[in-house]
Amino acid sequence: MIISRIEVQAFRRFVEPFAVELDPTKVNVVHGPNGHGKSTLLEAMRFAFLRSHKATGGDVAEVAPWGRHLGPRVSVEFEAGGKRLRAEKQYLHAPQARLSEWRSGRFEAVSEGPRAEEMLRQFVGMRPGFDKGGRGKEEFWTSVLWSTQGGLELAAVDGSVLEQARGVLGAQMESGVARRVVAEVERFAGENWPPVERNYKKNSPVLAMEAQLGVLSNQIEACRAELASMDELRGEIAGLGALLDQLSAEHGERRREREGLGADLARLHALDHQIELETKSTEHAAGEEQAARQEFERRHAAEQRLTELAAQLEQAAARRVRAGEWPVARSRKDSVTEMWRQAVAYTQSRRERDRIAGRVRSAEEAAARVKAIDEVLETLQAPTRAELDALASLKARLEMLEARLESALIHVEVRAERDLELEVEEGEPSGHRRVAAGQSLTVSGSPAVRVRVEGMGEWRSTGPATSAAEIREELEKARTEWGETDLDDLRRRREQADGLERERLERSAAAQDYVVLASDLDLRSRECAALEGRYAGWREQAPDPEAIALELREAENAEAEAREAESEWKRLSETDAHIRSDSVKMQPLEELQQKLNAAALQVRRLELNLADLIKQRHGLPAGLAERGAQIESEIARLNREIEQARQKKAGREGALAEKAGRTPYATLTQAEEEAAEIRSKYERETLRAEAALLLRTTLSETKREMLEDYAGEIGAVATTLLEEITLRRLGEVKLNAELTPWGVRPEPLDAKVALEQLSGGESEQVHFATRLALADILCRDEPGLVVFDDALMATDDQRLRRILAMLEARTSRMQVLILTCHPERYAPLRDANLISLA
Amino acid sequence: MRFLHTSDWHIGLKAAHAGQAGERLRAARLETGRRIADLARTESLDFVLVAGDTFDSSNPRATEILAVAEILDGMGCPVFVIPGNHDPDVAAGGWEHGVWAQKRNVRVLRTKEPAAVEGGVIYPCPMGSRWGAGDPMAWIPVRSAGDGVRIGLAHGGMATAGVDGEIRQDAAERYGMDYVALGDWHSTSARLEGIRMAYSGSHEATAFDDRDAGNVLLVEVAAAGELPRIEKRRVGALEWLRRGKRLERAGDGAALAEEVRRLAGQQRLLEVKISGTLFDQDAAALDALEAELAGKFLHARLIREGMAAGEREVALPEGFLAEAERRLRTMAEGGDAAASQALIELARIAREAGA
Repeated sequence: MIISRIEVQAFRRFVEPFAVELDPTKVNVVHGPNGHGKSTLLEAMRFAFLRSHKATGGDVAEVAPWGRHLGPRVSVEFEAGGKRLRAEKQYLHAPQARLSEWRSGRFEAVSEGPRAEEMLRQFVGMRPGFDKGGRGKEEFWTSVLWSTQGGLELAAVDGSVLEQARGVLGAQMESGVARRVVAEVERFAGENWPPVERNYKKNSPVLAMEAQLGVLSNQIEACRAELASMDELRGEIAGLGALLDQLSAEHGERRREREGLGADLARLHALDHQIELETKSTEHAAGEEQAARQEFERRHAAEQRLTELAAQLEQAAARRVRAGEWPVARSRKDSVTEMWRQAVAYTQSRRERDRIAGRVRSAEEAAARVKAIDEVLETLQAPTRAELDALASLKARLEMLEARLESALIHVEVRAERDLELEVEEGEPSGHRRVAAGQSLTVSGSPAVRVRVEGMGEWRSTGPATSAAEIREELEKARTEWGETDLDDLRRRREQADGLERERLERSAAAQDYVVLASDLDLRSRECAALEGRYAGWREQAPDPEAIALELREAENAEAEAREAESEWKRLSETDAHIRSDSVKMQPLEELQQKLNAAALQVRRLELNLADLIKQRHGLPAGLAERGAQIESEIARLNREIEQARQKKAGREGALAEKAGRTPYATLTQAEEEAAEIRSKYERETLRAEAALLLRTTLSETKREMLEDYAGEIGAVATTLLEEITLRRLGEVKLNAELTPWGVRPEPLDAKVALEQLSGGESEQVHFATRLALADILCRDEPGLVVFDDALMATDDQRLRRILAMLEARTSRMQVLILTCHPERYAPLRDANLISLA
Repeated sequence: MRFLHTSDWHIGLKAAHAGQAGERLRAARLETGRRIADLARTESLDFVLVAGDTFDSSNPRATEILAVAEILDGMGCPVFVIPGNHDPDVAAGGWEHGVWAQKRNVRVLRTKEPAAVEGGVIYPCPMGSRWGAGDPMAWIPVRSAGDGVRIGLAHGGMATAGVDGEIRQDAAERYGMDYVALGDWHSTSARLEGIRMAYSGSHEATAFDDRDAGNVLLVEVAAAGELPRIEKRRVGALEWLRRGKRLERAGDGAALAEEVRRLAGQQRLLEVKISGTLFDQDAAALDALEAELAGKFLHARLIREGMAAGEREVALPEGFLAEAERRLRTMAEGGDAAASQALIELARIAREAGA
């Protein structure tokens, strides 16, 4: 697109119609001082191609002249695609947009309104079908080719510019087929995969099939286990059937054997029965014999015992007579016991009474001593301990004051080398004094000593802050308070009083016991008097408890003998009466003897019968009973085992029938068929899913890598341009995927250098080179307009000259428009179209 | 003596290899059983022999037992059945069902005891477990005068000798048999003349591998010691077809699709294995065919084995799409199955997008 004419009216400072003509084959330099409308022209071109005529927003209102009720208007004539065209737009008042084409010597409208605007945006790089009616912020390739005032720095390049650049360089545009393919691949991959992760998404068909297969697999396993358990049960049932056959055969054998032993076993059982009966009879008769024997022996023993008792009773009666009557002996013992107890009590009371009387006397002596001590203390007049401490403290203060008085005095000793006449004006001795040569005079005073020597001058010595007079006054006051006190005498008196007071304290305690002791003494005296009244003679001669104790032991022995004799006699008498009473109830001894003999005879007879039976049993075959018992036991065991096996078999058959009723094989059949069907689909679906993921990844990676390649390719063009400008100083230009330069790699260095580290001039040259590289690419198929508004202000003259040469060299491929307020900088241009706005 | 020899009906067949056609397949096997009954009624037979594996398992459904009992009872003559290795006579198995005692024509021979028929004796060798032990026919007594025609009825594979559960190749001569009706193998014995032992084969094939199934044998033994005359009769209705095709040129796939369409039939099961190179237009043709298969066959399945993507007729426009395709092709040539599939999918997507 080549612009030939720009006309504006009511557009910022251009209230009246204003137009500039641009040369398509030269570098166009529009110059003029600040505020003359250079940038306004660039803005007008943007309005013509990008801004909706219906817009009323801030930027549209801003371009309307101040204070005028005028609608901004812009008209741009240009050539594109071999056609001569004109864009016209009117804003705010009667807004309109029109695209006209030069036909037959005049412009004819080819489109108006939004459609015209859409076509105009396509001239600056918008893809057909992507029009947003001017609401979008896209500037298409004008963002690269038209640099605004101070805006040479290239920001992230617009997506449409990238697409166009890639298209020119051979990259596939993300439009049409490629876009639809990418979208379909995304949709296809999205059936099974999340956008980024490489794990199946939760609701993917593959996972759904896996879940179904899992369920079926469990079902199949369960069916197989069920069928296996049925086989096991069948094995068990067969085993139990065989066992039952074996047990039944064994049972039959035992029964036949039992029948063979029949007759002998019956005889054996009859004998065993008889033996059992006979044994019981024999045992019963033996019991009766034993009872008769015991009764006989008891009767015989009673007769013998009565004989013995008669002799013992005679001896006991004699002892009873010797011991005397037991009640008398007991009374004597009680009387002596009482006297012994009283004698012991009296002896203790009397001893206590005498002890307490002694203590009463000591208490009386202590009271007398306390009274005497009180009298001595009265006369002694000893000071208290506190008074003594106060006096000692006062004495210490006196001594301290005397020492201070001594130290407060000032002493001046004057040693005369010749005879001196002195006048002591302060100090002692005072007044006029003469001191002979070789003599000395000491003058003392306080608070100062002042001596004047005639013809020589005056000496004055001063001393401590407290004067001797003050201390002396305080000393005199203390001495008055002290008086004639003899501190040592007072101390001696105090010590004497201390001794007496301690003794008084002890004696007072003893004296205080007197009342209690006197009461105790009275109580004890009355106790003693009571017993002395009961036992005459105890007052004069105290009883001897030891002697009474001997008498008591004799009385006790006599009482015991009488009691035992009485007891023995009674016991023997009772035994005798008891035996006699029992004997009356018994049969006579002879009858009992006859009964015993008869019972013994019966026992012997029965024992003979039993022996005969046992002999008959021994005559039967050996081990017959054991074998019979063994056979019975085995038959019982076999019956139990057969029953158990039958029950077990029935249980297994029941369980098997129950399992068979659930038709596990049919369920297994169905599950395996379903699983096989899903598995065949699963394998294919898995392959499709893997393929979809691979396809998406490969497309994405290929695209990314190719984008990086294109950035490198455009960077290489920019590098060549920058080398021309800087003469190889800055090296390779580095672009990111959005084609924004971010650094260079100067040749001597192996490291990349960020643009921020370059000088302002070099940085703008990198951006210029990148813009020009993009312009070279974008204008490869059709020439376009490249605008630099007040650009390259930091570039030095030499490099600017090379840049201008580069621009002039490109005028066949692109139209260049420079807007500047420094036209002199562009003087090196050999053939420029200079347009002044001044 | 004229009789019909059949075996291996495998009623209740587990047909995981037949996709969703399992139920229809099972119904077809019963239906073929009915056709055999029709045949038996028209062939004036002395009896029918069923040589094992009547059911696919020892735990058939009750409905299947009742249906089979009904079919066998309707043969119009005595039917002698032995349990095979798939349906052995086990506790709570199909042969314990009460229906067998109620069917007048049907005798399930569960023990190794001779069964007399007019003019001869049948020696059954039933199976009591899934795995046989020893020679199943070893129990058969030597021929004695007055035996008449001796017919063996056994189930098992055939071995020269000494294999547990297998029938000896010389069993007919060894045990003095005029004819041994065998079951277990699903294909009918290839040779039917001058022999005394034969497999009838399954009345319907059970899998694509069954070579010559779908027959019964009509056997006639004129007298003891005479060679039997054996006639094979087709009774099966289902056709199990297997095809393999290596695609090499563009259009091969579309041609294959047409060929498959020509095979269509509701009694047919088809398995087509495709390998080689899949060109985009062929992929579309095969995708379309796959969508039609369920309605055209009892069961059909296309199995793609390691397909490579064919070169595009019109190259993708130069750019990242073309580059991505090149990369995928390199991976596919290295044996990456996902890459091959990705190329096929890319071709499809590009075609649908108008490339």
